[in-house]
Amino acid sequence: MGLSISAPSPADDVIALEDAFPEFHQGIERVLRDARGQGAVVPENAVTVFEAPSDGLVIKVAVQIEGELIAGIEYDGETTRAERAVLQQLSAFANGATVREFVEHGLTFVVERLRDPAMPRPVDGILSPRNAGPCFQRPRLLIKALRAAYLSQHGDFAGDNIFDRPYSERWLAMGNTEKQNRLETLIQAFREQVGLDEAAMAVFEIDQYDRVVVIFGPEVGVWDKPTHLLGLERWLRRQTGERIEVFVEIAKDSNRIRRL
Amino acid sequence: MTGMTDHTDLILDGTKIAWHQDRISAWERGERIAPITIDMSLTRACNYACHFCYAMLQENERQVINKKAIFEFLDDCAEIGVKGISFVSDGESTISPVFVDAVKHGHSLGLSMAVGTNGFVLNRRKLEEVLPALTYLRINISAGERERYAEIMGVKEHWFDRVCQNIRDMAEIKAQNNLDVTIGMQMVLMPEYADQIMPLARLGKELRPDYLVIKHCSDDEDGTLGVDYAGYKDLYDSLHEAEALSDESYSVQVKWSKIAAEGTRSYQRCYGAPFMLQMSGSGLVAPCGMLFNERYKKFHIGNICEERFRDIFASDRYWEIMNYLASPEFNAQKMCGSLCLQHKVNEFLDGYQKDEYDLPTLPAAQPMHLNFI
Repeated sequence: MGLSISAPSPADDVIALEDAFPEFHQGIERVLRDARGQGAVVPENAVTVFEAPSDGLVIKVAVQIEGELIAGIEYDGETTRAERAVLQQLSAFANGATVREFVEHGLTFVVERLRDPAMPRPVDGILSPRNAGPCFQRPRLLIKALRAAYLSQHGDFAGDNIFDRPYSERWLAMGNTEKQNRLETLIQAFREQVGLDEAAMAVFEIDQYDRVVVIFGPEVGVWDKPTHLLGLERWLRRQTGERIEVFVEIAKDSNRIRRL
Repeated sequence: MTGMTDHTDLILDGTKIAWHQDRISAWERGERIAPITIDMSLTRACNYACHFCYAMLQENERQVINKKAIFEFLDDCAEIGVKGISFVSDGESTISPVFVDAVKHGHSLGLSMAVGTNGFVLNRRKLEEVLPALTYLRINISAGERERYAEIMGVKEHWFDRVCQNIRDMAEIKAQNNLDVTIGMQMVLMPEYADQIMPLARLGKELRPDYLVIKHCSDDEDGTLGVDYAGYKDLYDSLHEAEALSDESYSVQVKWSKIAAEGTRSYQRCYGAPFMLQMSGSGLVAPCGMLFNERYKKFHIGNICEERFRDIFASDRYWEIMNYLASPEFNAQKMCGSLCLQHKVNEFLDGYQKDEYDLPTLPAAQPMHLNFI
């Protein structure tokens, strides 16, 4: 899926990212650089098109009614460079997503994708599209308008949104040994980064769902463990692009009179 | 889903988060908000062995919460703006030697205090001390007959008699002293306890607590407790029959929204933990009870036996974990157990975050137990 944004801001390359927090600048530049040259995408057949205007922007979403999958997206209206990057990243998220997933989780995804993980978050508390900076506000209203337009034509969403994509097709196509070797190699690289040897943090199991279970040696401090675990998980996710989870071994109930 | 439907004075099947719009607005602005409610236990230990007990799945590195640790914790809670503390969570708080002092100290600091207990070690003297300091006291009792009580709750039959007497005493002390405390009974219902729904509802009518609430049983993501969520449907008639026993001063309420959810979640992000934190009886601070087990060590934030809570709350680690749960890194439908404590709060905040609705205009009358969201 590609993206079309008509009437972009003039003098694109010289306008600073004034409406974006510094924590997003690198991600925005990356997206703008990578997305150049993409064309219009809304196909003309076998789809229904939903259009929603908001605050000078218009979003047009083509939907395959069966499965409610998005088939294409176009935006119209003048944008800042930062807003354009947000919209482009939203289109990337829409690839293979349902309309419901797009309107419910798209912007949260974009905030995380554009944020520089090496910098502290721009807010002290919980980061969300509502507080991630001005460049997210018009896209947020646009998504809200799309939601309303879709529901008015299509009726309420049925049931719960259980759309999920933890693993890519490429990952699922890999054999168990190949996946395990890849994970083991990455885990070794992580150990080297944080100065742990294998005895300090060993792989106990990589289970059938590709969940990694590690065990720590006694030399690792109790409160260093959570940091290493989250660090390892993020490292594995970044390197593989897959939602790998990291755990330690389950602790059994030590109340003598309980039953498990 | 705002969770604000079916509101009565006593909300047992819903959330009161919408009455805390100042804190929701601060959260929305990205400020560090103190939890409105903290659910915790004073110990991981328990003198019961309930068949349905989720605490069996919550083992973590144990430490002892002594009087100094709990007093400092309560002081910190009052300082940072926590409003309510419930001693429920993953252990039997009444068997902790600091139980009575902790309740009274929290109350003296202006915190709303509450307790969930099996009610066995409470006696009249202790009740007279703690009831004036409590917003509610809820007895976990999942059967209305001695024999089944013993089976389901893993104790001797005569313990049932003692607990019943304690509930009678509570109602009497409350009435004699005209106390504001709400006395409740709670049945954690698994479909195989269906035969106890009506006996328990009738027992409540005899003992005269303010209410009996009947709720689902939670399970972990691997279904370790084996809760048959589909089996609840067959109990609807009995549950309605139990509710019909309500009278002007005894309310039988079923947590329909959770029972009907059949163990599923409508949301993927967890926004509720910063508003409603859970802590283990080991002193562990983790976002919620489902993440207490050592298995989820990556989510463990600190321990009040080692570090002041105000420092844990102000730490980057605390907010790192809360952000993780609120981000696409996390999917509560896939990475969590079923129907957690924060479930209704999560539903409300998730809908709000997705722009499904604005913050609602509130009814003029506030519900009871506002600080327990």
